[in-house]
Amino acid sequence: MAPPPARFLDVREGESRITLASGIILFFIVGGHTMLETARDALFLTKLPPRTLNLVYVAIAALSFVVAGASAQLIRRVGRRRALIASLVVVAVVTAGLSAVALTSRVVFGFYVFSGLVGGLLPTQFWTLAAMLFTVGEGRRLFGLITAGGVVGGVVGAGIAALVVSRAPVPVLLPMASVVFVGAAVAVAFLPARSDTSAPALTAEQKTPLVLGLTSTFRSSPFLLRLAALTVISTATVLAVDYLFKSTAARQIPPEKLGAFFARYYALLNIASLLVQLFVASKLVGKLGVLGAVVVMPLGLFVGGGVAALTGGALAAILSTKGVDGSFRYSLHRVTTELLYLAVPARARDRGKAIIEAVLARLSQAAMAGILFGLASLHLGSSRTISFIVAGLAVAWIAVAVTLRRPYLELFRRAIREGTLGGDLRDFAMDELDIESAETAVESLASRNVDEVIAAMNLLARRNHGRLIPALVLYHDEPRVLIRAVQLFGDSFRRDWIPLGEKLAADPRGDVRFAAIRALVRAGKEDMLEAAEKDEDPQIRAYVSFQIARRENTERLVDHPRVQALLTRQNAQDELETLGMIYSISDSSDPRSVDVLIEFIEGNRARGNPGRPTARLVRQMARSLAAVKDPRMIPYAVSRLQFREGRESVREVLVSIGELALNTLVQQLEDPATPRAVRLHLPRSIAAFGNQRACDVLMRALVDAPEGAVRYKALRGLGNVTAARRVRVDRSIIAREGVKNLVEHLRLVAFRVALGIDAESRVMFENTSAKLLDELLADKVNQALDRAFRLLEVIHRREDIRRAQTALASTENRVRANGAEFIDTLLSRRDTRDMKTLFRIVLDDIEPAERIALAAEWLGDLPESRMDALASLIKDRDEVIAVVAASYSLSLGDAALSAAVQESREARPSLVEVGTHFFGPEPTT
Amino acid sequence: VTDGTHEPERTGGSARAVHEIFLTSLLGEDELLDLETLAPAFARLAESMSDEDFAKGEVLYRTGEPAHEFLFVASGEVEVDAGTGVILTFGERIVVGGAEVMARTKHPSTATAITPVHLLRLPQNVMTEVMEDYFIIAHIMLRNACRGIQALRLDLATASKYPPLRAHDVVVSGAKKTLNLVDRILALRACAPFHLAPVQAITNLAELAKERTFAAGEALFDAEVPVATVFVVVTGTVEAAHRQESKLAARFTANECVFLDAVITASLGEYEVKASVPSVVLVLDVDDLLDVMEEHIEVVRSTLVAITAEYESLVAFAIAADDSWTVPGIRISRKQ
Repeated sequence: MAPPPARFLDVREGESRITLASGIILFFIVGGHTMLETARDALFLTKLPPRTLNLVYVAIAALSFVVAGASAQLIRRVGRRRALIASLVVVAVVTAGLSAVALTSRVVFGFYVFSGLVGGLLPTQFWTLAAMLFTVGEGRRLFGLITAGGVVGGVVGAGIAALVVSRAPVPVLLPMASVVFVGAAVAVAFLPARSDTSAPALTAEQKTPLVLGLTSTFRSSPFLLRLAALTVISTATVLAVDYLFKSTAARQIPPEKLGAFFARYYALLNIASLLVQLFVASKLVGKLGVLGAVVVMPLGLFVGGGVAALTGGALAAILSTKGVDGSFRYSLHRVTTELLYLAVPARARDRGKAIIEAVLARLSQAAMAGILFGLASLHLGSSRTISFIVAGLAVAWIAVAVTLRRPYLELFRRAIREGTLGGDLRDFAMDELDIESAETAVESLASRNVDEVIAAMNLLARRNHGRLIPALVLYHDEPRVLIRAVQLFGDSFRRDWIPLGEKLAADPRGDVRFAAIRALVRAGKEDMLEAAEKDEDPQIRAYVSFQIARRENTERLVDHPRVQALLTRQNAQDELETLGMIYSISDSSDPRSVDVLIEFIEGNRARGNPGRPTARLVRQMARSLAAVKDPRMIPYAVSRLQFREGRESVREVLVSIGELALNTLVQQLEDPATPRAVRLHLPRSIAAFGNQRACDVLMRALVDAPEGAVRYKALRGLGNVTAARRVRVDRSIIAREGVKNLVEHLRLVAFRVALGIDAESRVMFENTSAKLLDELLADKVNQALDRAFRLLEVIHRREDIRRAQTALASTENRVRANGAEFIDTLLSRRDTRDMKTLFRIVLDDIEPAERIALAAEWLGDLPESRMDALASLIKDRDEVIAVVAASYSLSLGDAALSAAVQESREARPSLVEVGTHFFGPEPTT
Repeated sequence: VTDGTHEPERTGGSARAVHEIFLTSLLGEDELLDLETLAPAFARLAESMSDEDFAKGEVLYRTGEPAHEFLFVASGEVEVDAGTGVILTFGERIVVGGAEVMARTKHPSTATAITPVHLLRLPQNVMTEVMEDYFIIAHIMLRNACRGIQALRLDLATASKYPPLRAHDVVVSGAKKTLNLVDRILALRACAPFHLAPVQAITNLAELAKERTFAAGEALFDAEVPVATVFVVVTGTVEAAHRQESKLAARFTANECVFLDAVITASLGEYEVKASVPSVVLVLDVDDLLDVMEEHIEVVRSTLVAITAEYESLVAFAIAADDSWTVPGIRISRKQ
């Protein structure tokens, strides 16, 4: 077995070049911008008074709309990559141009605004490009590394700027920054192609100016709206933290020591940020998930701000708060924010990100600056007050972050649905038929297509709109339409069809006549019975004869001569007459019919013909049983479960009888003497009751049933119950079973790996046993995973787990990644933490050997070679696997393995029996 | 639905209602008895169906495109050209390209609307999910596919057209053999209807199957008893003849299944099936097969793929034998 891979840098095959290139681009962008900022701050403070900063913020906020709009349009027209190159070139040219002009106060003002706009524009464009290059799963692993490039860029940029400024005039930084931006542009141009980074065609909405489309963008995406809120609040918070830090430092540290203090502290923060980025951010995202990691920074700020407020603005508390900001803002916060954007569809993301990052963030900055300026002017800006503001904003930040989960999951639900070509299976009301639909069905009644007319009648009747079927439909020419119509009318409370139905009772077509007579009987109109007694159709005669017998108030209906005559018929017309009698019983709901049914069943048994009556007879029998609802029918109904024909109808009968029937089913399930053919169908029959008790029984069977097939059927049944009804499920049991199945899945993968069987490309095996063993293991690998998904479905009844499962089998990386992120986000509760960890390993896009290494702590001792694997498999608890592995082992002629097989057979004599069954009396050698 | 030229645009519940009506209209009389059981399955299918209109001459799909949706022709006519010189024209209520969707392969042909066509699309994965949750749907699909092939075989027999005997023109003699479970698994696995089934399912089938040896000339089943049994030849040769026509219809040798379509449609009794040499045959109750199918829906897929391939080869034979041959719902013509 391969040793566990180094997880520090989880860069996989085919990812290293693009990750490195992305990191370099961000390094250049952030490095260049840091140099620009250093020059800007130094020039601004020497040329303009600090209060002008408020004007600058306003100007930046106002112009951000224009720049963001232009950027979005540029991306649409030339694609993400070219847009970033163009922007970098323009920024490089303007920056270089600034070094050639006289730096008057107006120019410096403009330079500050320009720098602010660049700070919003370039990172946004970069991450928009990155979002197209990486999936959610890749983003989780690689964004931290890429962001580290930016953090290092900041450190290096600041270092170079400090060095340059100490030896040369500040404007020297401008051409240097320009060169760095050109470097970034070149790096973007050479970024390896990975997927289509061009933008899709403009929709009408996207052609509208950015500002005008703002409301529609957010209205159509609640998640983007929350991201906007998150950005606005986080921007305001970090500005307040920055102000708190600087104002406190200015108050508490002597002015002559301020320079050195800031230099040392910023250096420390940059290093902390880098360390967080390299060692903490990915682990936190991995452990807490994206949504959990989003809360880390505001939580830190809340604690820091709170302590600072309570201590009246203690320097240590404020430094710690700034430490949280400095360590997490450009590392964890940046990574989680970009990962959140990855969930948004590309079109909405491009537009929304431009608005949020380039416009709303700037507006938030301007607003917060205004508030702080106001507080300071009113002498209310004490450290305690600002600390309270920081803590309050951090709480708001956490609150918004908490509300992200639902829309975040919804985005993946939608992505999975779209990615797997299906509609929404769960969100429709099955029994709802609106007026428009009903009209559509009524229109179809006039169709020339007979099947369509029948289908429309069925739809209307089933959705409780049978009254919309006109009685005039009984004038239809087609017998099938007439038969179906009278069936439906006979079961309704309507009377308007009866005159037409009576006409049909004399119709020359036998099937139409019979249907009309039955419908009239069910409607209580029995005048025609005497006339029909001599009908030429034996089925009608039998039906009518039973009805006539029933009308005579005989105490024991079964003893009535007419009924006895029907029960003892032995001629060729038996089947039709029997059917006629059974129809008659089901139409009458007469409790006296139970004896008739019992005698019929016993008579059949006595004649040695209990097994395979026709489908029609079985169904009708079931309907009759359902009509009489007598507990005496339970044993017969349960015994019928072993026969496919009519099984569903028999289940309906049992459900209609109720609790007594459920008791019998539970008893049969727990009784080891129950024939297997019956036991296998008990879990689904119990599930048909759809109540809490059925759910509890199935939960028990899921864990305790000795046979795997019964446990699996219990799981399927449980899935049906939880999907249809509100029942309580013990989540801890499901989570435990989920873990068990995921571990089993991984264990079997480990055996396939050890056997040298490549799951992707099947190799030819040297013998039959090896091939059989491979296929059995492969099947079991899939089955264990399938069971884990089904268990997930039980505790997440509203989620379309099956669609996510389909997405995970997709050949498209992005669809698979969406599926995996959906499952990961879904399993957020403490009781499913182990399941989450294992699902993450199982669903990760890695080689089987690496997957096994990651799951090592769950799997215990694992085989390291084919011989090891076989030695374990011959002792497997699954006898079939054990026997096939033994056969394969013997075929290899290895003395140690042969001895192990012998030992295993002696320890488990049942294996010899199974082996004989599988391979014949003599084992394959 | 009936007139593709003036199809009003429908949305939401109305569209669902139309889809449900369409699906229900595909049911046979017997299947309507199960309507209550089918209703939730149809509701799910109808929900996932989408409508699409094609003008005359528009292409529905081209050769080589992935096939991942069932395409129901609600109205109009679609021409399917696989480049073989034979054009198949599909009419209303027929699924176009369903074989490749089941087989999860690419379209081997190009389908073009030759009149205005209203199409209902149903994603393959939704159909599989529904088949798994409501086995009755899978059973109906299976039965309908089998009925189609049975009807065609009967029509051909009535016209005294018999497809060439499968693969083997000579009788293969079979040695008497006692089969262990592995032999059974391998025999079933090699049999076309189970070829794509997972081995676990085949193991279950193999465990349920019984080994029978038939002497030369011995009938596999009695004419008077209803036949609900699957026969898979392991060694030897079995021949089937139409009872009415008394003409040899097919010959089955090792790893072949005796008219599974006839078994599923309960019409195997129409044939006289005899071992022509001593033969070993695996005998499986059709209920057991259906039970295994219910647990492993991939067995249904495997069987459907095999039955559809058989149907296509019969259609090809019919066309080759008679240019003017017709199949219900499909018009056959030769490319000019």
